Order: sequence, then C-alpha cells, then structure tokens
Amino acid sequence: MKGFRCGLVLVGLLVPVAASAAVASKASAASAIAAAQAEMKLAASMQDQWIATVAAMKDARLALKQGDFAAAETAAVHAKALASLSVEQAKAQRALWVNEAVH
Amino acid sequence: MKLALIVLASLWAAPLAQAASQPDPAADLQGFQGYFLKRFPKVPLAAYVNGPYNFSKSERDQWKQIIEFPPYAFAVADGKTLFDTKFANGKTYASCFPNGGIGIAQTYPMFDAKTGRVVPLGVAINRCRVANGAAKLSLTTGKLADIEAYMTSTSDGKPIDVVVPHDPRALAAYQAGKEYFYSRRGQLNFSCASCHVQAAGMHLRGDVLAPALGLTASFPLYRSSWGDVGTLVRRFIGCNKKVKAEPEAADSTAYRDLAYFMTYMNNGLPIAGPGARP
Amino acid sequence: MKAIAAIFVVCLMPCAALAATPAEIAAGQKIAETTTLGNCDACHMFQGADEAGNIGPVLKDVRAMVPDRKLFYAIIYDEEARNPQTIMPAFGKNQILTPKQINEVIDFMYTK
Ligand code: HEC
Repeated sequence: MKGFRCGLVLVGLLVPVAASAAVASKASAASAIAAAQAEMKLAASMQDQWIATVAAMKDARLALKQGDFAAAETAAVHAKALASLSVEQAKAQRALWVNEAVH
Repeated sequence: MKLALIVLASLWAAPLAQAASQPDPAADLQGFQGYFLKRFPKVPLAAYVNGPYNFSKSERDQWKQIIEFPPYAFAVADGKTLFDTKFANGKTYASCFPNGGIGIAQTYPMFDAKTGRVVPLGVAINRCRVANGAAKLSLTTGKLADIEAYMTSTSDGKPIDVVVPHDPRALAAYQAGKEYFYSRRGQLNFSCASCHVQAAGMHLRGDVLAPALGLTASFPLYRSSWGDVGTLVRRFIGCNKKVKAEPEAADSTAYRDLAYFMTYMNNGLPIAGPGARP
Repeated sequence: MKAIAAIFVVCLMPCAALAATPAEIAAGQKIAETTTLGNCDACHMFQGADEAGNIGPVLKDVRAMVPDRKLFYAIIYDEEARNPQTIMPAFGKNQILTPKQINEVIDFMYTK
C-alpha cells in the first residue's frame, strides 16, 4: 500500500515534467534559440562556426516565425549541439595545432 | 628529492615555454621551405609558384594552352586604366604607394605600425580610395582584383619580400596567422595544412592539391571555374567553405594575419601573378 | 509447427545482420558518392568511383581490410580518436552522417 502511494506521487511528479519537455511553446522555442545563439557567438569568436550550425539556426528562426514551435525548438537544440562541437574543436586546437606545423 | 625534481622541471620547462611564446619567423621560414624541398626533391624552390602544375602533367598541358592567350590580360589592362584614372580630387593611386605603386606588390602584406595591423595589397588599395574620397571596393573580385592584377604584373619575377618587424604586434599577427593556418576547423575537421601540407601533390577528386609553399605567389589569379580573376581572400573563403566552415569577413584580422604568415613563408620566391588555374 | 517458426525467427535475425539488402547497399553508394554527404571518393579510390582522389587508401577488398564491422564503424564515426594525426573527417561525431547512414556506407563498402 505504501509502495503504491509512493508510486502515485512519483507519477504525479513525472507527468508535468514530461509534458513540458514534449510540448514546445513560443517561450521554450525562443529560449532554445537564445541558448543556441549564445553558443554560436562563442564559436564565431573562436573563428570556428560551422555552416551546418548557421543553417540549423536559420531553420529554427523560420519555424518560430511560422508558429511551429516544436520544429523551432528541435532545430535550435541541433544548432546548439553543433555549435558546442565546434567550440570543443576550437578549444582542443589551441593545444593541438602545433602537431600540424612543419619546422 | 621532490624539490630537486620541481626545480629541474621548471628549468627544463622555462626555455620551452619561451620558445613557444616567442615567434621566430626567420627560423619558421627555413624549416618550412626546407620541409618541401626535402619532400619533393625534384621541384626547385622557384617552381613552387606554379602550384599544382608541378604535380600533374595533364594540368600542366592545360595550363600551357591557357596562357597562350592569358585570360588575365583583360584584367591587367582594365586594372591599369583604373589605376591611372584620377580620383575626384585629382590625385591617383600612385600617390598612395611608394614608387608610385609600380613594382612593389612583393612587399605586401605589410605591417602598419600606425594602426598595429597587417595591410594586404587589397586593403591598401581600399585605404587609398577612402583617403581620396572614393568608396571601398569588394576585396574578392571585380575592379579591385583588376587593380591588384595590374600592380602585381609590375612586380612579376621580383622575389617576395614580406617583413615581420621587431614589433610585438607584428609578431603577434604573424603568430595568429600561423595558428589559423595549422588549426583544424569546420565540420570536416581540416586545417589548411591538412590539404596543402599533409596531402600536398595528391588528388582531391579532380584537383591536385598545391603545396603550401608558393600558394600565394600567383594571386590575384584567373580560375576557369570562377570565370574571372579573384584575389587571395576569395580563395580563403572558398577553402573555408570546403571544410564546411563559415568564412571570415573579407577584411577580417584573421584573413589579414593568415595572408601575412602564408606570404612570409614564400619569401624569396618570385612573384608569378597574375596567374591562371584550371 | 512452433519449432519451425522458432527456427525461422532465429535464422532470420543473424541473417539480417549479416547480409545487407540491395536497398541498403544502394543507399550506401549514394552517400559515399554524394559531395554533401560521405563524399568518400573525393579522397578514396574504389571501383566504380568517378574522378576519385588518392589522399586516403584505395578501398578494395574492404572486408579483408577491416573485417571487424565495429571497428569500421569507429573509423567512420571518429578516426581522430584512434589516430590524432588522421585527416579522415569524424563523420559521426561531427554529425555529418547519422548512425544509419554510416551503416549503409559500410554495407556498400563491404561489396567492394
Ligand atoms: C579539403 C582540402 C582543402 C583545405 C582544408 C584547404 N584547401 Fe586550399 N585548396 C584546395 C583545393 C582543392 C584547391 C584547388 C587546387 C589547388 O590549387 O590546390 C585549393 C587551392 C588553394 C589556393 C590556391 C592555390 C593555387 O595555386 O591556385 C590557396 C591560396 C589555398 N587553397 C589556401 C587555403 C587556405 C588558406 C586554407 C585554410 C583556410 C585552405 N586552402 C584549406 C583544397 C583545400
């Protein structure tokens, strides 16, 4: 009985979390775009922006404008992931580039 | 014992750290040119200005056909006309350059102590325009490329002579260009060196990859795939895109520094511009 | 009857894992030869490739070259992790190809 109640509480806790993750709103899409944009700014400052990142961001903005918040959020998350990969690459290269240099 | 180790380690690390932080362009130049001369013993130093033609007979044959009627001849002629045309204030380009702009292309990119920045020839042409009340031109193609083609033609055969003065800002610019050249970037994770050093002389699809040595000496150049004459910056943009990276702005510090490093590595090689490529 | 069905199922699974379908192989070929996707032939020669490059090794008898499919996957996914000096792009890690696309390229390459 105790276990059952505990389970109910858990389900009750999980439902809103799952719902908010699944249903994109204008606000959640906009915040995903803002997060991606911040990461892209960092990538650009490290002289390593990928073309695919910019394309994903363009998709996100277009979807936002068309009111497709789920697509906007998905594209923005993708843009951020790509930007993070390029930032990681640029950071690593700060130490690794010397391996490519000819002396 | 531990202390001794630390002291030893720091003694050992100190000169290393210094060597890493203190750029030495002259030593780099020797190492760079030496690397290619050793790797391709059949290619004499001056021949590197011909880029891919040292490594592909079919491209060389194509080239010989192309230069029978040099496709850049129009650009040189148009460039001379533009160069000699007076600005609204009555002055000409000649007033902006040493020796009236004739036979000086081999000294660019030049470090400008006043602004602390590197000035490639294209940027110098635009500066001259702005100083005389004219608008800037595109740094990649068109009129500016034509003017550059003409000015470069008056330096044909002169040894490249780029100077990195003993100014910490010049050394920093040189070092930044070097780091840009050797750093991997883009979704494909290539550096300029991946293709133009490691894979030099090999085929990327139909293209023979020109070695990094001599890479800047024929610019501006006519490319059949472009259909007109383009500047070095235009090529930078193209090669950035090849690795799926966003290009830098044409007049960015990154590209200026990159051109500075790459052209310095060609010091002593003859200017062979404007050039032509398939 | 049940036993036959069971054998059928048991057989189907490993068979499917071993032999790629013609559709998968065709998809792999398309990826390998498309500039914006795998673009393998820009650097590697393999039979049937048009204007192939010679920066990477020739891809011939690929099954003998890389018999371990997992290793082959790792090479396409991120060869730099195994060999820091490589100029082979990290197609998986950098999200140029999806895991499904990498597997299709492997299916195609195993016919070479
Ligand atoms: C994926 C391979 C690749 C990478 C990476 C690459 N390039 Fe290139 N580059 C080429 C190809 C292909 C050509 C055309 C053939 C040739 O001339 O080498 C070329 C041509 C050039 C040329 C003109 C050479 C000539 O004689 O016509 C210059 C200059 C150049 N690249 C500079 C760069 C710089 C700078 C970088 C780094 C930002 C870079 N490249 C990165 C493939 C590459």
